[in-house]
Amino acid sequence: MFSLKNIYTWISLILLFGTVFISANQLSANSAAKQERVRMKLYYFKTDAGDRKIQIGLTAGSGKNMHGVKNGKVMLTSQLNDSTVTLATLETDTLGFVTLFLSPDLKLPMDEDGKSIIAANYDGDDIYASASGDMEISDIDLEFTFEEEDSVKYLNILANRIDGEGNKIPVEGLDINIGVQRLYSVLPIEKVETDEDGSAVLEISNDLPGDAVGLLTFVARIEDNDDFGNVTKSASHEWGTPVSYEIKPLPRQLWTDEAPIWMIASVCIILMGAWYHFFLSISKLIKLKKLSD
Amino acid sequence: MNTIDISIKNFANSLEKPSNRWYAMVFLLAIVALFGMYALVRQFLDGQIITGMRDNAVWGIYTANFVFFMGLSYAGALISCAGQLLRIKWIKPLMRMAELLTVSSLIVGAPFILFCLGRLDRIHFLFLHGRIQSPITWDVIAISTDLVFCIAFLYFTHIRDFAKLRDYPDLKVANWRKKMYKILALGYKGTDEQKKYLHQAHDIMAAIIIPTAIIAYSLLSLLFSMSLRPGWHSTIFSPYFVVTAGYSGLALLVVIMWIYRKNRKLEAYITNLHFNYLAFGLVLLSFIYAYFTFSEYLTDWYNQTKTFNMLLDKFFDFNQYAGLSVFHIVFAFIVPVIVLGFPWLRTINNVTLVSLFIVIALWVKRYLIVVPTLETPYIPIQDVRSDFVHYSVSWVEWALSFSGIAVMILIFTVASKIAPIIPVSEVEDAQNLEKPMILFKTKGD
Repeated sequence: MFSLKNIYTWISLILLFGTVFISANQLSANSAAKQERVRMKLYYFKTDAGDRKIQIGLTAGSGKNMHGVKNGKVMLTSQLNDSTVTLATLETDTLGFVTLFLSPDLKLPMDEDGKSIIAANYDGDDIYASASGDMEISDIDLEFTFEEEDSVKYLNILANRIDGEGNKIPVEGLDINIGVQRLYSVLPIEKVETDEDGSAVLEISNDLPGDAVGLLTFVARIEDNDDFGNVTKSASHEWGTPVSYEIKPLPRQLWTDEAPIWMIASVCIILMGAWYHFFLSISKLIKLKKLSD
Repeated sequence: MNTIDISIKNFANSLEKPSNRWYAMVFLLAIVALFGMYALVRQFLDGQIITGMRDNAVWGIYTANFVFFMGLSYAGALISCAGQLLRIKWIKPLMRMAELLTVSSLIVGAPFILFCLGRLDRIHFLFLHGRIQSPITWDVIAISTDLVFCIAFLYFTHIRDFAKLRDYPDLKVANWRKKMYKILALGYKGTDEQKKYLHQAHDIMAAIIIPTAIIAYSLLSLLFSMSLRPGWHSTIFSPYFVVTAGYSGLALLVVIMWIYRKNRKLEAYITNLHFNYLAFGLVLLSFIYAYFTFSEYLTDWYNQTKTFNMLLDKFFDFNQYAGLSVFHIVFAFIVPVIVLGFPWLRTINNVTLVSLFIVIALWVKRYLIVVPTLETPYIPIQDVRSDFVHYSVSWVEWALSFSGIAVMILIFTVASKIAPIIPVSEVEDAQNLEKPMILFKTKGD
């Protein structure tokens, strides 16, 4: 008969729970035996300030089970002809990414056309198979010019590739996304394509809201390009409509810092009512105690 | 109710020198509790990555435990305070167990919500910068108020028994305990005026605890229903939570009664009648509970919103939550109605066994409220590994959960060594009074 008085019953219950948990852990440990295929993706970013970074993503599984390979060691190299320069060996984060920020002084080995090859290698382990990949990167220079003709505003973008000797060579047929920087993100305006001179022209509307003095920040973005990766460039100009951003104080609401008065009053009334009764009953006890004295 | 021999001397033996078995039990429970503390320290040092909580399922069994234990506490409060206010004679022997259930589950349950915090070291910010508009703040205020009130009520009901223990000359306990009884008895000598004041204090506290408990548990439900998530955003969540709390607490009270009845040989005080009355209460609550559950899901299902349907599919999928759903329906509704509904099945052991399964089934229900909804967001996270989307309980969470149960049993074990588990004075009064004392005088009295 089960009885809580019996010490053996307690010991048996604890042992039973222990056995169940250990068995469950064993089962889960045995289920992971086969190496999973790993996919590698390489990304190159050049920011507005000229900072450059290389990002590698390692993923395994597919569909709902797709996941990043964490703590995987990835070796990054730059290759030119037969020579290889090791850039870094990094460990992936919990989402399976490594990021290498390139120092502004660092010049990647490049051929006479200005192309650099970045290669990445992951050796794999007991769980994940090895993976490798590479990408070609060329440096690009984006230049803005602002022109106004008969009250029509034209934004010119000039795209030049930098070759191995530092010469600028116009890039033809390059897709560039133009947008305006808003508070949280870039508001897209239009996608333009460069001509044989590496130039693209975009007419800017007169009614774009700017800041208090009408300043607008135009952003040009090249995205996932095979030659240049992801490049961002921006420039500001007083082509916007001046907008006053005077912040009006919000009335007391659920979402403001200060709660509505009715809410504070309700909470206070309820709490005062409850605690009044508490202290009333305590006062009865004090009277009781006094009677004994 | 038949007259029984109720006297402090019948319980003195259970309060005197503890047996080796008692020490062994306390030691075992303390070990489990300390292991939970170790898990908590590990979580504090390593962060929530060692729990199963991730970006989607930001809550797990900690929240299920929080809701579950809070429910038990409110049920205990409602039972003991209603017994006091409505002058129910037969419930008197059970009142101390109900009060201890309230206080112990409040002490154990409240910290569980804190374990969900990512930065426990910033817990004081909740008090320094808490916004009165937030349901979390409402909960903190309500639970802390309720805890103070319930501890006070527990103490009030002990005063006369402490006085009896102070005045019992043959009590073989340490001197410090005799001094403790003397202090805690507040010089109660049983004069008419002292009786009057104590009775008033009891009634006032009982009257304020009932609405406080209902408000606090309703506020707890608002943690869920104030959000727009599928399965949570519901207008009936507050009464649904209150009913579930009453149901689970009543069931656990039956289990506690059974344990003490067997362990302390209290068959004369906790009788077949008590089990029968509580079984009737459980059947009634099971129907109300089923009614709320059905209403809750029917209205959401009828709307056929995409996300709620996804959630509902999980309850019917045996690779996901269908197993737990079936367990919950069978043991929270079907089995109680069958076993407790028919007199020939309604034995003390059957009532207790069914109650135990009701308690487990209602814990499962809390888990089903918390986790599947969090795993069904309106905007799912894409391209991340499955453990960021699906919740699984880690050893840390299990350790803290079992530690909570151990602490609760420990509180009962120690408390029932300090004062009789049957409120001797209350039962004595109930037997001696021909007519119960009236609560409110009406015009003409």
